[in-house]
Amino acid sequence: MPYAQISNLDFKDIKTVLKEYMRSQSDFTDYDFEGSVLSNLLDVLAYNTYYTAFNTNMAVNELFIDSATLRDNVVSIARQLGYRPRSVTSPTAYVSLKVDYTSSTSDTEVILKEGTGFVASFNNRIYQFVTPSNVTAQVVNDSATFNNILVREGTFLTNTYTVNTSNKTQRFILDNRNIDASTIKVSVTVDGSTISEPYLLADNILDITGDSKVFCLNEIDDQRD
Amino acid sequence: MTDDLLSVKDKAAIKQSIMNLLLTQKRERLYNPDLGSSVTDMLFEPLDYASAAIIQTEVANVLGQYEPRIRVLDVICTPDIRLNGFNVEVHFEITGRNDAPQQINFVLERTR
Repeated sequence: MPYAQISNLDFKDIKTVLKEYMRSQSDFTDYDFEGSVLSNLLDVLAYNTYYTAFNTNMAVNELFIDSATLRDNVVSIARQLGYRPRSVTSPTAYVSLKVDYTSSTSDTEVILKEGTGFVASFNNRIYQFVTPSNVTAQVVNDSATFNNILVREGTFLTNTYTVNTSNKTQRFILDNRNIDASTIKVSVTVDGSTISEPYLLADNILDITGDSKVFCLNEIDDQRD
Repeated sequence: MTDDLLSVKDKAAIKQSIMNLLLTQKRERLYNPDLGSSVTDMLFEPLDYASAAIIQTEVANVLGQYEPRIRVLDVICTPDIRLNGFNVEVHFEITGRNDAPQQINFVLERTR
């Protein structure tokens, strides 16, 4: 039997190899004629081989970070190497504003709460900004001035989950895509308490103990975290 | 070979191949869209001698192009009102042999 070029990814080449095989034995004839039933069967075999070879080729490509084309696969391989890809980054602006009371007040400070929205327009497009954290300004002479407060484009969202302590591998999936991961804040409230405790993002597992207040962040499919 | 499947050989294989070619529609075979004939399309044309002539030409062309084992001597196609189809006779000889000319007859009918 002649050497079979098994790396062929072309239908015609695969069929030619199958014909070469047929030629090397004498059980079957008329495979060379396109109208024959055997030629039809060779088409089916060649297509099956072609389909499998193509599928294998694509699947193996996705196993290596150099040749993977689907983001989910690249992220998965990068995770094994200890990397987490950057998320999208929300545009940032710094704005100053002044709050004037219309009448005399005894307030000593004004709090601009996290999630407060601002709307900007440019070239007939509307851009929505929010404050990512509380900002406090002192009231002086019935007015409060906020200088260079940071606002980020996007929407401020809060997701609440219930921890299932019996599930040791519980994940909390943020269903929104395109989250700026650097703005993710996690706080945990014990059942029955009103005080929430902030948890910090852990980049690695060094120095983490059972009492560490940390959370781990990974990108999963569809660019969700 | 277990003989679970019977294989046809010689003249029978050629006749089977002829039928396969004529009843295969163009673009039906993978990666070989030109293979086949358009006789099945013609079955929905008027049942007259004009359509029969087109089928006759098509049969001769297809066999001349894709079945090098034969030489077509004659193709006769006649409309059959009773069967609502076309009677086709193909006369051919097998190339490279001194056999008597062969003949294959079949009826092309619309299937709904």
